[in-house]
Amino acid sequence: MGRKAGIMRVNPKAFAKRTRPCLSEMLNFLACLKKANFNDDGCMQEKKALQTCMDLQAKSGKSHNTINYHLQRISRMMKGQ
Amino acid sequence: MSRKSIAEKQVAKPDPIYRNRLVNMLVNRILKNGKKSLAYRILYKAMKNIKQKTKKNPLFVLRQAVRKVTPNVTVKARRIDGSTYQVPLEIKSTQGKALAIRWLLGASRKRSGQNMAFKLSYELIDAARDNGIAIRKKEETHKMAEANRAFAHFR
Repeated sequence: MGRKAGIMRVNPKAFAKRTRPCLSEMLNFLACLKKANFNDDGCMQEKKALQTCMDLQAKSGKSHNTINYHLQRISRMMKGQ
Repeated sequence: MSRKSIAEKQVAKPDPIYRNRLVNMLVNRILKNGKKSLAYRILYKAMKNIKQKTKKNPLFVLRQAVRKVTPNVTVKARRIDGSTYQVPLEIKSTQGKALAIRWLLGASRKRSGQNMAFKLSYELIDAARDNGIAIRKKEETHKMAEANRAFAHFR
C-alpha cells in the first residue's frame, strides 16, 4: 500500500501458530464440572489451576515476531554491499 | 488507543466508607445519569440490609457472592469451514469479575422489591447461598462450555 516496491517483508501472521496455553486445564475443569453436576464447590483444585494458568498468561504477555526487523537489517546490509 | 501515545492504565479507586475497590466497582456500575450520590446511597443501604438479614459482615457476603457468580469458561461463536461453532474459551479474572457484577446487577434490576437497595441486597444474599438468577446465568454459561467441549481444539 504505502510501502516501497523492493523491500523484504513477510506477513508475521502467516507463521504465527495459534497456541492454546491453558487448554488442558480448561478441559480438566470442564470434565470435573460434568462429574460434579455443575456444582462449583467440588472443583476447587481445577478452578485454581485454571486461574493460575490464566494469570501467568496475562503476566507473560504476547511476544512479538521480529522477523521483519531482521529482514530489514539484512536488506540494508545487502544494499550497502 | 491513539496512534501517538498509549493511554495510561486507570488505577482503581477504593470506596470511601469500606475502603474496598470491589465496592467502588459495584457503585460505578449502579451509576446512572451521573447521579453518583444516589448510587452510593443504594449500595450502602443494601449493605445495611445484608447486615440486618444475615448478621454477617456485608463485605464478606458481597465478596462471596461475586466469587460464586464469576464464570471461568465461556463460549465464543466461531465460523469454521462455513458452519458456526460455539468454542469454549477461558475467562481472565478481571473479565470474570466484571461479568459477575454485570449479572448480579441485571438480576437485581429484574427482581420485584421495594427499591433497588432491597433488590440488590436480596440478590447478593441469594448468590452467596447459590440461589438466584445470577447464579443460574453462570451455571448456564458453564453448561454451554461443557456441552461444546469437543470444539475446544478449534482456535
